[in-house]
Amino acid sequence: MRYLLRRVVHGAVVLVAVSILSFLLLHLAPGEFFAEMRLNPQIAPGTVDALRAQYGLDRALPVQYGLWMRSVLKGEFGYSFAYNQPVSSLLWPRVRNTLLLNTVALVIAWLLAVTLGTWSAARPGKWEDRLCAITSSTLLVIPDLMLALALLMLAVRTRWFPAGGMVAIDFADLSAGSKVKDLGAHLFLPATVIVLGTFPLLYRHVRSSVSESLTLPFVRAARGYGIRRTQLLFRQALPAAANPLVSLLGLSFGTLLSASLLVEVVLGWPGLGPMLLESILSRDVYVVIAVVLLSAALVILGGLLADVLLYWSDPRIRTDAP
Amino acid sequence: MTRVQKIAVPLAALIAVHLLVVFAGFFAPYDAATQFREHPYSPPSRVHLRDGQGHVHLRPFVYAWRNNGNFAEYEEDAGRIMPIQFFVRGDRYSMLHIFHSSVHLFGIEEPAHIFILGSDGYGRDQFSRLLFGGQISLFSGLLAAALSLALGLLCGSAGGYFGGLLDALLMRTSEVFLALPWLYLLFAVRAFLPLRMSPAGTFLLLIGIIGAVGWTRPARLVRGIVLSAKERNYVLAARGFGATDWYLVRRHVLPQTRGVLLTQAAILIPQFILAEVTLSFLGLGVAEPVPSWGNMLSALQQYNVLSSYWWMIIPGPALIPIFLSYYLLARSFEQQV
Amino acid sequence: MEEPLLQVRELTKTYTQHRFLSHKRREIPALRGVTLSIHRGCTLALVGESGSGKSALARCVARLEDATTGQIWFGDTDLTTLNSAQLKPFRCRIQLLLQDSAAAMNPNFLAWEVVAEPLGIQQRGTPGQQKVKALEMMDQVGLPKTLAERHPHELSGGQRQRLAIARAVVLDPEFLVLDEPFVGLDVSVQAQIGNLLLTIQRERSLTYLLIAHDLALAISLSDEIAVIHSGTIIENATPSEILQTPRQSYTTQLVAAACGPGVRRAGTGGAL
Repeated sequence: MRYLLRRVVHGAVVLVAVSILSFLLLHLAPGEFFAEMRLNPQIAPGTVDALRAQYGLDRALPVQYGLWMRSVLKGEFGYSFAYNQPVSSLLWPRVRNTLLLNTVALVIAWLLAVTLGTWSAARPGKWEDRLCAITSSTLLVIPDLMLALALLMLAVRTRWFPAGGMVAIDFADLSAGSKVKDLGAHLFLPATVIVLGTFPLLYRHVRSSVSESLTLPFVRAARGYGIRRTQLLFRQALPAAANPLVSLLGLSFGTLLSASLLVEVVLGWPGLGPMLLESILSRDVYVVIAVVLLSAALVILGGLLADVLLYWSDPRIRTDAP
Repeated sequence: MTRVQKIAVPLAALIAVHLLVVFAGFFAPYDAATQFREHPYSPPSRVHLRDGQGHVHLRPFVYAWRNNGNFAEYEEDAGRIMPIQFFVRGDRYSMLHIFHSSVHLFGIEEPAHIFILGSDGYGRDQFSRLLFGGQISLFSGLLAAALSLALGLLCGSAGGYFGGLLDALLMRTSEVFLALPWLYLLFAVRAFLPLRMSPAGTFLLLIGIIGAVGWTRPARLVRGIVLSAKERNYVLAARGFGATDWYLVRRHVLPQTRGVLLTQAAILIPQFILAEVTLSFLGLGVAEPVPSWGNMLSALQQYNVLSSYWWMIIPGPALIPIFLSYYLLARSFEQQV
Repeated sequence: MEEPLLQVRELTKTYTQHRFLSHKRREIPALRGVTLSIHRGCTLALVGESGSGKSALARCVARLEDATTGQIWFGDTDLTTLNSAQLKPFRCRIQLLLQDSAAAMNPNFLAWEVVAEPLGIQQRGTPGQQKVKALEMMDQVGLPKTLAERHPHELSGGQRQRLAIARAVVLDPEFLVLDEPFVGLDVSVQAQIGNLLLTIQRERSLTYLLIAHDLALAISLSDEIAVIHSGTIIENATPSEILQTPRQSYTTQLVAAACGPGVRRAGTGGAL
């Protein structure tokens, strides 16, 4: 328990460090949101300065950081210049969309990886195993960008799937069932890309863990008792293989906000990805910092989760703990 | 496949591709910036050996494309046979600004064109742009990986060998880097730097960013090896003979890192190539008119390109055999170590 | 009676373990005031069980570690007062043969490179001359020339130990600390190595500090035996005295364990 507390504190320290670092770098970088405005002859320089003062951009850096901290504690996480609203209210719907996409995709990827991985481990060398191995290697070698573009092209040409966006224009008017169908249709392509991208590595890890656990003495003994194959696989071997997989699960959790970054931009899914890109290009600093911090927080949380799950699932670690 | 073959084949393939790209000026029929405005989005030229009358020509040829009046719609003009010429004189090019020439491997007499992979919206030959773009994409991956490995080696061995405060600092810093998902980190670091720069500046900047962001993994691996090598008895024995720290690191510790460095190289180079391609695709990397496989692909963000001009996606599949080769190399290295 | 070559006076060595960010320290005393002396050309065997401090003493004498307090006199110089630059000439004169020869050799080196390494570090001669001398040494310890281009892990345990001995004497030292040189070797090989050590000692007038946990071996090779237990020397006598008139109960136990019931070895040390 003390160990966990230490890790939480440690994570918090890292987050603060990241925030300070990002703050420093972003403000030191050339270019500023209001630079464009300044170039516009129709806007009086006084207006630009007033706007900057309003956002506190003319104060010293530590003061700005303090102001930002206060905004964080208030729950606002700073202010977006481009959208004229607090960052949190701007990001929240985006976070929801990204989480939806990634959760669906990761759940599917994990399910596929665990079933196929366990199954392949049980039949080493047979054609099923070989096929899965070749598929996963092929997928590993194809870059996500390429997959996304190829699927997009397919969608556009065949019109089987909507090519972008999250919902149809008349979404609000649809019945509940149609809403789900519409969402699903829009979700299909981006989720597929993410699944295809994350599946190979997960499958690899599952397969190697399970085949290792199949050689463990107690599993072999269970086989000797004549336990049915499927029960053996899923009740004996898989839990034994859980150790490294559980950590992987925690790490996967940590990617819940970031796994879809590229896919969202290419396929037009209204998540954090396009928002981040836009803010970077327009130098909407507080949005950038907030997104970066959010994803860092999730990665750290994922690591913590991995440790907690490990502790909970593996009795050996529990007995060793002080 | 023998062990040597397993390394030799992908390595040979990679060397061939890189040579192709380095000598892009020679292998490409046109310069990357040459525009043929009257042939936007021309599909790939079809090479024939047999003409309309059934005669077989010894020299492969193409028909000239003729615009039928609509934008970017073409049909073959069967009346005009344009043979492909080899070792022609075309646009001038230079290799590293040292060696100048204007001899190209193949080409076609004006006013026809040969677009092996089609042309883009400005009528620029995609094949030529692919080769020139490869210079940017492939080599930024290579150079960034070299930077990453050098940094990782330096930091990892310093931290691992000297321990103490240096090592603690190293570990804490790498944790901050590792707390961010890789692509986010790349974006964030890119965001912190000037958005509009000269092409050469952007190229160097990209290499710098990608390399600097990627140092943590090799550093940790090197550190692990150094830590264990440091405690070996033969290091102790050498110290007993009066060896200095530098000698120990040079002769006993560093050679152990060779395997890890090779494997990491084979893993990182494709990742970094992809990083450059992604950044350029999103407009954060190399900008027009300098071609990179990333900004060539960004043309696909327009709907009409996506639906009608399939050849514009070629830089994407071009990455696949390259990644495959690196992947096979990484597998072989891992097994050897 | 000439002055002893090596004198250790009240040597203590304490290992401290720190816990990160806490003030708690664990202190592990390895040596608590060890005093002994060895005369030139003689062999002193240091016998004790694991954890008694033998290896700590070996490392301190060979100056691979710093003692906490105490003095180590080599001839007329106190080694504990020297810094690393001043120690360098002494590194040639005192050599340490490490336990577990296999781990003490870089697996990527060739056999002759292992022997030549000290020459390279001390910068004696050109690389060509170093190789010649290395091969010469290998010959002297009875290793055939064909093994020169092999890697250490390709040699048998006995051959590796010979290689280690060759490396230990290539710099023409005066004093050799041998840390458990017989561990892991079968009995016949032990005998061969023991003979080799005695031969080399005679030829080069070497002085040995032999560290062992096997009393029987120690008795057959040494002129004097020091029994170490929990970091102190509890008994220091000649082999026959140890066997016949042990003064401490611990010594008696060691003798009993080594010799077994009814077997007595009489005689002075030095002959196998």
